[in-house]
Amino acid sequence: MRQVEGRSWPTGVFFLWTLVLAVGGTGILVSCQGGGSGGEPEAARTTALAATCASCHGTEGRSVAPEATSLAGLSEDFLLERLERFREDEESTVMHELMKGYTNEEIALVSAYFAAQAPEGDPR
Amino acid sequence: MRTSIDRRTFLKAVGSTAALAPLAALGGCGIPRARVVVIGGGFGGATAARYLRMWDPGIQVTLVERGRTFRSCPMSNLVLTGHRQSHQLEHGYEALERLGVTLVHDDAMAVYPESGSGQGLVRLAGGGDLEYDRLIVSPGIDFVFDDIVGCEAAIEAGQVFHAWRPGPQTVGLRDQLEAMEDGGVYVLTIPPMPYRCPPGPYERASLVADYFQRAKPRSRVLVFDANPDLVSKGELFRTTWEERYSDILEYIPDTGPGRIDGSSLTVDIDGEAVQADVLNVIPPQRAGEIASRAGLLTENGRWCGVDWRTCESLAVPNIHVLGDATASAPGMPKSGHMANAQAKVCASAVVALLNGRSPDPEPILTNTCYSFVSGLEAMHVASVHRWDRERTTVTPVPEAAGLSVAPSEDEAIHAWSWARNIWGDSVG
Repeated sequence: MRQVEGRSWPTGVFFLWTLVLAVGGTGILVSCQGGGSGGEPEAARTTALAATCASCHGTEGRSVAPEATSLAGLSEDFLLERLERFREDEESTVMHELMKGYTNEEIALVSAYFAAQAPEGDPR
Repeated sequence: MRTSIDRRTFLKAVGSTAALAPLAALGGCGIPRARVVVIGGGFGGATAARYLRMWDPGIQVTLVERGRTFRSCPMSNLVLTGHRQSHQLEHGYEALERLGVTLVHDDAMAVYPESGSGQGLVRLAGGGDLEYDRLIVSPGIDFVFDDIVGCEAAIEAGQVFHAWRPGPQTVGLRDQLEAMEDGGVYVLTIPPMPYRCPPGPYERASLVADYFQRAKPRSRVLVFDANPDLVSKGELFRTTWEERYSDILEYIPDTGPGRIDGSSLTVDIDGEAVQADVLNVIPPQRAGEIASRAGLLTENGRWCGVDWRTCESLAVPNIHVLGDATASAPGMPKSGHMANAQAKVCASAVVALLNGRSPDPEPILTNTCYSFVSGLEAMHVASVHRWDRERTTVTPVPEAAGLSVAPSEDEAIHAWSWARNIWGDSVG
């Protein structure tokens, strides 16, 4: 059992056990999360969708290889236009193939997602 | 980030099941945190551990991996030809540890899905147990030696290498190729599908032919494939072989090894004895052993069926399976890229489930796979896989299926870029 950290509550241990029992009874575990895809379902879907790009473009769109574009922090309009052009068959190595597997709505979601990410070295 | 809450809010939350989900948003709330154990630190397991911590830092993640470093199978064929050294394909797990993943360098020996407390238990070879609320099993492959008499003994004796797991096996085969005299014969046998990395054997045959052409031009490459034809990038490999390696490389489909003599390096191929100077047998494959011990095998007693929306096992609840060990969906390759993609679907689903939410009902997975045909030229196959409601599995999107027109130096540069980014995306 993890130590109680709720130092501001005098009867913290009691409340802790109440919660353990209540939570245990429902089969749901509390993970005390801090964000990411743990948020709203729509945000979680967008985050997971954007994560499909990360294998080639770096985690959260921050590429560690100069030959693959860093997507983090690019403008939404620019991303949208480029990705749609790939989808319409603009020549490339693999992007004109992969983008045909995504809908227009998904392309819009990932464009907005990467535009909102801080580029490497940006303390935003 | 710590959030304080008052007693009334707290009791209100406790009193209602429906209100429990928002509780998950409390940071450092002093209640038991969800525990996820991941078995296997390859492309699947490492990525799952990393993304679980990124997407929900409240989850305790323990990664059980026997090796001290992550070793990449992709690019390891280039070690055979001297274009890379084995240690250049290794990466430490320190970045995962910095992210809060607990590394346990041990072997998982058994899984008890229902221990006394209602949670599952993983038993470690080195002693001790790990409790989990959800378990992710990403054990890669093990080999099935039954059909090839003498194979296991020859591999154990170091006479024959499979080199289908990176590290010492790859280095052993490299040393044999280097020591072989000009005029020697390299024999490669390919197992029936499904096996890890469908185009990998053809890439290997191409690269060894390239090496012979440069260093040992009187030598030959003999490829015996148990499959009726090349199973991936067939036309591209065939054209390359005809154009460049026709006097070195011979491909014989629909044949497999029956008996191997490791000391003389002879192999029985459909009743005929073939003499090799370097014998490289890629044995038939199954899910890594722990999958069998955990009762996760659902297909041919070899592979683990999963629900592709969560990667949860079809056999045992609260256990998810990733990577090469899974019973692949239609058109889905057993590749490092695919394991990385599956790991994200799984991590997203596990975070949702542990927070009382429904997982994404229609996940998307991608695959991009580069194969080298010489030290400097590569070609690719790419695909996008989506949930198919009618077939209740994921299937490739036909319009998104892609293949190079021809191998090129440009694609080799892209291949290295891919490798660097996917290594970083998997282990940090």
